[in-house]
Amino acid sequence: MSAHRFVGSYAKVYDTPIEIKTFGQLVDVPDEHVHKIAGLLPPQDFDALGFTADDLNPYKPKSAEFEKKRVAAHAAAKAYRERLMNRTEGTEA
Amino acid sequence: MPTVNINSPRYTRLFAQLQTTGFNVVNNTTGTWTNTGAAMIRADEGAFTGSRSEPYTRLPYLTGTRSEQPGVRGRKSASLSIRGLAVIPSGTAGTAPDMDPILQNIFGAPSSGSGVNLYQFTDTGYLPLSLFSFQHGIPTLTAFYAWGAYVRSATFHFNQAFQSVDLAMDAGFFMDNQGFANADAIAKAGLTAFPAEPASPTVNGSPIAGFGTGYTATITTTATGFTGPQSLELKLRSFSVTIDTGFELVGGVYGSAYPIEVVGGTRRISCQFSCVDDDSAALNAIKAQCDQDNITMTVAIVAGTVAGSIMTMTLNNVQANAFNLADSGNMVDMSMGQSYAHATAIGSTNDATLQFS
Repeated sequence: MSAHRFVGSYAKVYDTPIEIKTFGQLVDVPDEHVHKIAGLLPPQDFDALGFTADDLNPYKPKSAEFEKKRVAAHAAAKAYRERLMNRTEGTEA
Repeated sequence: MPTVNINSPRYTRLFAQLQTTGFNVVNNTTGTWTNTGAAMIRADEGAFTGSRSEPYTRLPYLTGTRSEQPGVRGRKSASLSIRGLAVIPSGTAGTAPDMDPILQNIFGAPSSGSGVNLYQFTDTGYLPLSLFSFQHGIPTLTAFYAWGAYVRSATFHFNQAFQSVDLAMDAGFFMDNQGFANADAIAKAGLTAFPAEPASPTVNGSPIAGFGTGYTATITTTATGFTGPQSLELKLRSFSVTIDTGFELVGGVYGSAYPIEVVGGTRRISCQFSCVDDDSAALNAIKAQCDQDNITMTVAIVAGTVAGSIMTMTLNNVQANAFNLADSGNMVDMSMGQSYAHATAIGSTNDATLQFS
């Protein structure tokens, strides 16, 4: 089990309690499921992107600066997931 | 407790997977399905239909009575359709959507790009699909899998409740768990055991709303006196793009009752739309485009505004069909008939592209 921050739009691992709906959500994910979810970052990688409290407030309008950070977060999440998938064999759907 | 389980579409879990070994081989290790890369497909109840064709051929030879004798089984094949499948980006720009196996099947290649997933046609890609239907948690109910499936037609709909696509597919055959033990090896497509339902499948991303502020529909016209990008998003009432892939299963051969491969015929991509009619410069340009002979235009439609959940379809070299006007309540609708896209040069395959960003 490891903590991650979510930078996608939605993810659900069926038959488990894991359902992630909010940008920036901190979630504990069992290791066997981490690589299946698009949009996860280790907390330290997420923090390095510099999201503010307003950025993470779902009720506040998003600035152009936030959108740049979101795109950077997506790129980082994709790279992280590819590293995990390259280390994982025989993954399930 | 009931002594039998009544089947329900609500129990269904659908999966799509690209086959990596060949047209009539489901991915497996020594006969056991390997579900790596199988993606759960979020289809509505009633959306998925599949049918097999394996009719009996009559033997009406003369017997002295008016009754016939049993016939023999004829050719075998299958067709499937999924209506109104939500187009769901992954939510993370640069990560392919869950329906990536289906899109690779349509376009013939994986997506490309940095920070985006751009699907472009290739003529050399033949990527057969397997589709699996399980009744979740009740293995005694009937499950099945189809192999050698190719999308024959994909129609993307815009300005509906959510972005969706209708798919029509042909498949080599589909095998169910009840008859699996007695089926021949070709029907089983390389498997010696019926596939097991994947545990804990994951889905990523949310459906894109079918309309919204910031969505754009731009037609770049070339009609004399009416050149340039024309914005239609605040007039568009319906818009659809149809991709006829040209895939045709090859069957009817002496050595097999089943289709043996796929061949690619002409690919045709078309769009059609209707708008609220007005006298705007943009719509007048579209009408002039429809009226002028032997010119082409580019069509680009964007759905979604949040990074990771944006879908863009671009159609090149579209020859605009004639437009028509029709009363629609207190308004008049202008509609452009089905108009076909083309590659921009001989040797190109860029009739249309689909991008997620």
